[in-house]
Amino acid sequence: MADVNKIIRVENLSKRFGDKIVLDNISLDVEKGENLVVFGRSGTGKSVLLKCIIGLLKPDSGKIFIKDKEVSTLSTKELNSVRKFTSFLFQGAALYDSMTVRENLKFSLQRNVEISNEDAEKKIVRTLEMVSLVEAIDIMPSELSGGMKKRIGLARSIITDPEIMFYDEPTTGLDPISSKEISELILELQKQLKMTSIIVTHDLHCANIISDRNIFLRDGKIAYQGKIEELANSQDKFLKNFFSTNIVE
Amino acid sequence: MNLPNHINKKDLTFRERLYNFFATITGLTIFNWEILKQAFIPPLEIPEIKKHMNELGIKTFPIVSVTGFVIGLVIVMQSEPVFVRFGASDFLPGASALSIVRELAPVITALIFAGRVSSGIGAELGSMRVTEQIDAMEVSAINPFKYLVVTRVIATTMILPILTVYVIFLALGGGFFALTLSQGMNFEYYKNAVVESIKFGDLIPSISKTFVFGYIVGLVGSYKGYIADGGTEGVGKASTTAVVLASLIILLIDTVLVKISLMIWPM
Repeated sequence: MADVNKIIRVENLSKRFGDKIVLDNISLDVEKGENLVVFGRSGTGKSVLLKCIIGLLKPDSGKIFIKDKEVSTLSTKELNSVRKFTSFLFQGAALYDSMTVRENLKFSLQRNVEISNEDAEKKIVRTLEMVSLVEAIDIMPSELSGGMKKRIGLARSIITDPEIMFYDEPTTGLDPISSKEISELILELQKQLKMTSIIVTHDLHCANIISDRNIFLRDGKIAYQGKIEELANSQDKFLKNFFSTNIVE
Repeated sequence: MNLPNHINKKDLTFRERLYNFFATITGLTIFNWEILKQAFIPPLEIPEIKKHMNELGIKTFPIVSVTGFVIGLVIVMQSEPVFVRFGASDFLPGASALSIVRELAPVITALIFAGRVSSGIGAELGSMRVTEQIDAMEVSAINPFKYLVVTRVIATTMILPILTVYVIFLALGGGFFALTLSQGMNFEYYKNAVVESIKFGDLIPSISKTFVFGYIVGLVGSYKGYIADGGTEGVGKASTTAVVLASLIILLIDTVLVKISLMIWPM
């Protein structure tokens, strides 16, 4: 009998591209309401792990369960029903560049939720207020700064009230102040909306703010896991080296 | 939809090129089948199709207008000395109209359309692919294939025949202009000669094949854009290879369609 608290379960997941083994027999669980941060050096398969979980990439072997539904065996229709309660914030925000901010939010909302035009407009404004960018409502994505794009991307992701959020490097490419703001915003939203999140990042400051638990990928395997302080204070040479490049308060 | 992977590197060997060639053929076939399957499944995305038809039509309108008029003008100017030499100048309006209607207007319009639209679709979808916008649609439970590809292919299939009819009229106008300048021909005479020479069996295959050409332009542009990878370089590659491949397929298919149409409607 599956543990109902474990909203995401990954069992013996492996994925390779050509000769390169990116994920090697990975197993992990995420509990309801938990913020799990995935660390690792570039190219260690952090984003691949997220994309396998959400069904954008097919694993070579292993099983992935989201709320007890095995993602890798679902048909497109069934997978879409799972995707209606999950959301994904891409590294570059992936805003639809032919649409204004309003249209970006409306597109995701009206295609997933039965909602009148009037209510959709109200919800768009409310969501943009949450990310403090109501003034950008009729702006094209090309006119937004990197930080603004991330915020709008976040607004688009949460507008459908997802239960599970996946963040792919939410603070990459941002200055330290914007990065801190985005991290605090993610934490705030998680508290408000009671979401479960998996966050892939390099940013220890971001992890320090938002993580409940951390895992560290190395050579396609989960090499370490624990609280951020435990990892930062570890005597392991590799971890020491990784954490010495960042100061964790 | 499992599309075959292409080998993406510089300086491909002959074997790798051959592999990529067959991967493209296989990929196009799978892509084509998926379009035919999804085209009739609701939602039909009619507003999106209308938007693309409008955009693609407007984009191509100026260039086909100029080309259409020039085709008619040049074909008459080039043919006139030959017809005069053989004492057949009375046949010039009808003969030039026939070549415009049966072959020149459909093929040249399709090639221009491929150059303008196939590359545009390839670049647009390619850039959406490399910036993860297509993935973003997919994880939002939206069918990106239906919304981005099927709508564009339907739009190109519908708009090219309209453009071709427009080009036929302009080319015939160009021919009349050339004959007026050289022979002072009056409009009534030209119109009667053209109407008498063009039969129903000339118009049907000519317009019908533009639906196929329009479909090819949309199919190839979308396929190249949808499978693009490798950042901005990949987008550029998708755009240029889309034009080359679409033009090549149009010319090859035209050869087959001409043969079939001559069997059904002999001249």
